[in-house]
Amino acid sequence: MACSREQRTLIDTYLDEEMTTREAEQLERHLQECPECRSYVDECSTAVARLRSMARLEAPAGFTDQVMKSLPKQPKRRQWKT
Amino acid sequence: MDIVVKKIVREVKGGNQEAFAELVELYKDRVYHVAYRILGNVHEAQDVSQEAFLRAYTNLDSYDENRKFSTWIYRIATNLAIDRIRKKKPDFNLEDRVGGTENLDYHSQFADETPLPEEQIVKLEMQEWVQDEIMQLPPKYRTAVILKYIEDLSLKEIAEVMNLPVATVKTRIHRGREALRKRLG
Repeated sequence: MACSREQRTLIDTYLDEEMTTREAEQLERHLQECPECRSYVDECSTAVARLRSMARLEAPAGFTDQVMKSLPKQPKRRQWKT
Repeated sequence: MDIVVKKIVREVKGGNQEAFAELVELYKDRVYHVAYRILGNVHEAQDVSQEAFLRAYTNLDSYDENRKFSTWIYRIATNLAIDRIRKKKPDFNLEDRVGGTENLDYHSQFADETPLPEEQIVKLEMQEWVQDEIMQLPPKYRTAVILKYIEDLSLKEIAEVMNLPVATVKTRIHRGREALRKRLG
């Protein structure tokens, strides 16, 4: 991108989802006049949207039981009390 | 939630091992999911997430109750997942690309043998493609990107999970995102 470092930082802040309203307005103004940055932001947003569309997977059945079976056996402290 | 977790942690610390099952139930899906996204393999994801809970149990005394349990367990799981990747490739350098998708086994998530409708096949192929591209990222960028855009953690939380300054986390996310822009954008 030929744009200034400042614009690039602004785009990163936008994609990090950490933007203030004022910064958003500033970026919007820049994107309106810069097709290069616009297509860059579009590409990034598409990639992010694809990541966000990933299905949530659940732990396999019996997972908790297997973890519990793997835990070290507890010392039977109470038996030693007199 | 935090109050419930604190209560369970105290019970376990007090010697009630059975109470640990409640913690596993609360966090197992998140831990398994993040392990799968980093490793791209169901068997390894299961191994790593079980190991993460075992480590959490044996190190419960070092868990700081003022912090979120999710952050702590994510840290254990992501470290184990990255160790696993390193062990698979003895000369592995973090900057190297991880090649191959032979371990990707998305279809094995579905026990049912009946054919899937067309729409679902397209969706599955899309998911496989995205997972494949995630797997091409160097592990340190991969973890940051997964925690940010798939697990939806804040930058501060990611910094805690990865034990890094927020600025470093941002750099890793930016680099990972830039690589994915070229491939998925």
